[in-house]
Amino acid sequence: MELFERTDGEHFSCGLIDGPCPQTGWDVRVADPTHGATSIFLGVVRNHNAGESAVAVDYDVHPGLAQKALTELCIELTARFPVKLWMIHSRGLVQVGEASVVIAASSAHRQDAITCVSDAIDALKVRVPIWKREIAPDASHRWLDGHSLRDDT
Amino acid sequence: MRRVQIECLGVFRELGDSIEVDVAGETIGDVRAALSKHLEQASQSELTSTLARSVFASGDQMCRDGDPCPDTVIAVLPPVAGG
Repeated sequence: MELFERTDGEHFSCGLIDGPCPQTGWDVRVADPTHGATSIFLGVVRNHNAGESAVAVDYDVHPGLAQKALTELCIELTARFPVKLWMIHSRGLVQVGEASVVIAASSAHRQDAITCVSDAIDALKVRVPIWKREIAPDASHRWLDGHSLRDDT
Repeated sequence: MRRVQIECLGVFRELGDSIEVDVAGETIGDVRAALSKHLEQASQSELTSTLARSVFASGDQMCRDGDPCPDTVIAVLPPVAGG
């Protein structure tokens, strides 16, 4: 179930989804007959982190602020790169091996798509109000630390 | 003194999905101080350092400590960790 989807109808779409992200079909979503390159990043939940085993990650999200941050990020990226861009992130439980984030970009030439996707995931991690609660095999959990959004200190 | 409802996100959900605190003052910084006091009283002082790195928001607007506290639910946002 998609929590929201935003698009400018031409250059980008972004959204949040309940549960894992689909891992296929993204090349079609950013297809453009004038584009000769497609770059796709899948962020997949792994079974370990910082020496601890994990079976899943539960993603907490502030939907309104996440929507705003994702949309602003897409506007910035599509102003910097001549790409067609898709970004989607999960909310809720995502099991090991499932995708929690997908970023796909196409461009006329490869470098724009590759750099756009790389910059997009770097920015998403430090700007979008999303939090990880890692679930261990014994069902205990821990919240992972992240990047502060404070700009007044 | 006014009572402010705080929506808890991320690690602050360990306190509950939302809590109410009594705020002595009119700014977001006063809300921060009230939440810090609440953490001490709830024996959750390990969250104090996280609170110092957290921001507050009203609706889809981020707030700074010097901003006046709006008459709405305030969300507390710990450091983010998407991806």
